[in-house]
Amino acid sequence: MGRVDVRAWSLAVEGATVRSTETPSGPAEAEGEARPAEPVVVLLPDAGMRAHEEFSFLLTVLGRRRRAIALDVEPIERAEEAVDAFARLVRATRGAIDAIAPAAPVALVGHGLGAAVATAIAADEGRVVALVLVAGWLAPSERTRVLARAWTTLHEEGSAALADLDALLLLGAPHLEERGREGLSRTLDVRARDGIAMLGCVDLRAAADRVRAPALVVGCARDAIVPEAESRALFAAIADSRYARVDSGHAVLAERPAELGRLVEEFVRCPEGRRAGAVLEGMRP
Amino acid sequence: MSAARAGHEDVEVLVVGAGFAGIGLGIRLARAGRRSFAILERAEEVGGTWRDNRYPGVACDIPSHLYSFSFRPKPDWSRVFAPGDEIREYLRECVREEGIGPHVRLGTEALEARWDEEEGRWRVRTNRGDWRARVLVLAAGRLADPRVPDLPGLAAFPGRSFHSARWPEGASVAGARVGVVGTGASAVQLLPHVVREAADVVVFQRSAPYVVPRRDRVYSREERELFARDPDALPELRSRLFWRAEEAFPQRLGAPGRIDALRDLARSHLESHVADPVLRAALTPDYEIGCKRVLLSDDYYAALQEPHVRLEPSALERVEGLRAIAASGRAHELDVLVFATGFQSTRPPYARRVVGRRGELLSEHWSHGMRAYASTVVHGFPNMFVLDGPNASLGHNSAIFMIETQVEYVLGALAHLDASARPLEVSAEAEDAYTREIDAASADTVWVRGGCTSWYRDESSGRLTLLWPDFAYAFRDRNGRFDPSPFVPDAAPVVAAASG
Ligand SMILES: Cc1cc2nc3c(=O)[nH]c(=O)nc-3n(C[C@H](O)[C@H](O)[C@H](O)COP(=O)(O)OP(=O)(O)OC[C@H]3O[C@@H](n4cnc5c(N)ncnc54)[C@H](O)[C@@H]3O)c2cc1C
Repeated sequence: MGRVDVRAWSLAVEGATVRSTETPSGPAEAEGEARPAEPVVVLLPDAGMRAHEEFSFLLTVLGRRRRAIALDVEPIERAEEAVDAFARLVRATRGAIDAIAPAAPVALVGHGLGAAVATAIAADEGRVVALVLVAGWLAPSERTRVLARAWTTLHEEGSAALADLDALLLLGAPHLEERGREGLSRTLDVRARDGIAMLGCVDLRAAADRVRAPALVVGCARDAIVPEAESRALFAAIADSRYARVDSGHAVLAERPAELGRLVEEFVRCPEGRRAGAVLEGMRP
Repeated sequence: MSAARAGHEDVEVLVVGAGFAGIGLGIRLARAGRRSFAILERAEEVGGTWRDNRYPGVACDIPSHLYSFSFRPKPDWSRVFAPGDEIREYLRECVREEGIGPHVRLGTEALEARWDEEEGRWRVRTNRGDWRARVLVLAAGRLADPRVPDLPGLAAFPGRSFHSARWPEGASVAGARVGVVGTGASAVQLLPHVVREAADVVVFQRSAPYVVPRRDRVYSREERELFARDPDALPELRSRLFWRAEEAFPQRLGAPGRIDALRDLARSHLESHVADPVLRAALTPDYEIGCKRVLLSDDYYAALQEPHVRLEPSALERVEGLRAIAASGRAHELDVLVFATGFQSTRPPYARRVVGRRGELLSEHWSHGMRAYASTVVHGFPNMFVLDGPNASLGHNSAIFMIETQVEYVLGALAHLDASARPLEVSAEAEDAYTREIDAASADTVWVRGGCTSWYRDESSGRLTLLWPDFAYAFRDRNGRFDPSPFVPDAAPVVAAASG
C-alpha cells in the first residue's frame, strides 16, 4: 500500500501564492509495478478553508493508491468585483496545477467554492479526466444571494455573531447536536468573505455546458449554504454526470468524510463505472 | 425441515454455531423461503459471545443501533452501549420472532465435518447423531473459546478461578481478595464492578492498554418512541453511527493528524484521571495506539486508584497455594483469580475438526494462519463458507456489518448452487491472490507496524489474519456479492441434484 505520509510546500505561480499538501504517488511507484496511468487527484477547498485541514481525511484515503494534492491558492492582488476575483482564482489554480502536475491527467475534486473553481477549469481543460463536485452549485439562487449579502455584512461589521451563524450554516443539526463543531475549520478572514461573495454571484451555466469530463456531483441533504437543489441542478447541467446524496450539512468533510471518501475513491478509480445520468444509491449499513 | 435417512439427518445447509453469525444467516435463509437448514449449537442456549460473557459490566463497545441486525432494528435499546443481558435477549428474541427455533439444535456439538467426494456432500458427526448437508457454514465464532494461560501451580490453586467468559452464574466476589489477570476489553469492563465488591484487588498487567472516554448514555423515552414511530429515524442514526466509526480507520494507517488526535485523547484521558506520576507511567502504553484494541471506559482508571486496589505491572507467572506470583517476583495472596485473558482467536479449534478434499484438515490448510478467498471460502473445502473467520473482523466498526456482508455472499452462492449441481470450490490462485492483497494492505497498518503483539495477528507467521485491513465499506464493496468466476470450473464430479 502507498504510504500516507503527507508533505507540504509552498510555491509562487503567476499572481498567486500556492500551498500544496500532498501524498507521494502511491503503490505504483513505491512497488515499481506497471499500472494503468492513475490521474493525479487535485483537491480544491471551500471558501475560507485550509486545504490541508479540510481534506486531511480524503488525502489519506485517496493517497493510499495514487498521488493526491490539496491546494490552497491565494491570488496576490484582490479584485473589487467578486466575479473578477473568481476568474483570477480559477486562472491561478490552473497555473498551480500546471506547475505541480504538468501534462498529467488530473482528477479534480472541489468542495463548495472549490467545486465552482473545478467546474470552471474542467470546462476548458482537456486533461481533466474525472470531476467531483461536492456541494457545488450551478447558478446563484435568490437564497444564496441573500445569504452572501447577510454574511458579508456581518463580516464587515465585525459581528460577534458571525462565528455562530457560520457554524449553523455549515453543520447539519444532528452533527451539531452530537459532535458540536468537531471537524470545522473555516477561518473567518477576508478570503472567506471573498469566497462567500462569489457564492452569491458566480454563474456556472456556460461552464457546465462545456464540461466533457465524467463528473460525480455530490449533494448534501442538510446543506444550508448550497441547498441540495442547486447541486442537483449542476448534476442536470453536466452531460456526463452522476449524482450521489449524502445525509449531511454543507461541511460534509467534517460530517461524513468516510462516506464521501468511498464515493470519490470509487469514482476516481473508474469514472465510467456508473452510467451518465445515474443517481447512486447510498450504502445501507 | 430435515429428512432422517439411514441414521443421519439430511439438510441442504448445515450451520455450526448460533451466535450473531449463525442466527443472522438462519433468519435470512428462512426469510428467503429456504426450509432445509439446521443450526447446530453446542451450548444449551443461543447467543454465542453474549451467552458466554456474563461477567459484571459486560456490554458492547460499538453502539447498539449499529451492533445489531440491519434487518431487525430494535428501537428500544436502553443505552448507546447496551449491557450484555440486553444483547443476549435480543438474539433470543430474533430466534423466537423469526420462527427459526425449530431449526436450531441445542446441545449439539459438531465433532467432525468431512467432505464426501462421491456424494458431493458434507458429513458431519455430532454428539447427538450424524448429519449430511450439501453446504456447510462455519459460524463457530472467533472469540468463542477462552484462552487461559497454562501457569505452573494454577491447577492446584485452592481458591476459585475462572475465565471472564465463564463467570459462574450469580458468583459474587464480595469480601474476597481478587486477582484480575489481563487488561484487555473484558478486564476494563469488569474491574470497576469487582472493585466495588471485593476486599482487595490486584490487577496483573502485562501491557498497558490505551483507554479513551466511553461516552455512553441512556436513550430517553422520547428517543426510543421516535425510533419506533418514525421509519426514517433509525436508518439515519445507523448510517451516522456507521460512517462515524469508519472515520477511525485512517488512524490505523497511521495517518498523521488522525492518529495523533486519538493518541492525545487517550493521553489526556489518562492524565486527567491519574495524577500519581508513578502510576501514570505504569499505565502508559509502550506501543502505538490502535495496535491493540483501543478500550472505552470512563471508570477504569478511577477503579484502579481505589485504596484497596493495586496495579501489578507485570504478568502473572505462577501460583503457589493462594499466592499468585508475578513476573516481577512480587507475590499476592488471593482467594479468586479472574482470567480476562482473551480467546483462541487466530487458531480456532473448529479448524481441527474439518476435513476437506484429499483428506486435508482445515487447520493444516491454515498452518501459516487463517486464509480464505473473500474472507469466506477456502480452496480444497467445497461448498463450505466461514463466517466471521479470516480477515473478517474489525478493530474500528461493527462485526454485524461484516457478518451481514458475508451472509449476503452465502445467499448469492446458494442461488448459484440452486442452478448447478457442481460443488463450488474456490481456486487456489484466487485464494493466493486475495491473501497477497490482504498482506499488502496490512503492511502499512498500525496492527503490523505498531510495535505490539495482539490477538489480531497469527503467532507463528506474524500475518494479520483476523482483521480486515481496510474500511468496513470496502469489505462490502469487495466481498458483498457472490461472483462465480474465481471458482474451479470442473474440479468436481457432477452429482445428482440435491435431496433434502
Ligand atoms: C466481551 C465481548 C464483547 C464484544 N463486543 C463487541 C462489540 O462491541 N462490537 C463488535 O463488533 N464485536 C464485539 N465482540 C466480538 C463478538 O465476538 C462478535 O461481535 C460476534 O458476537 C461474533 O458472533 P459469531 O456468531 O461470529 O460468534 P460467537 O458469538 O462466538 O458464536 C459462535 C457459536 O458457535 C458455537 N460453536 C463453536 N464451535 C461449535 C461446534 N463445534 N459445534 C457447535 N457449536 C459450536 C459456540 O458455542 C457459539 O455459540 C465482542 C466479543 C466479546 C467476547
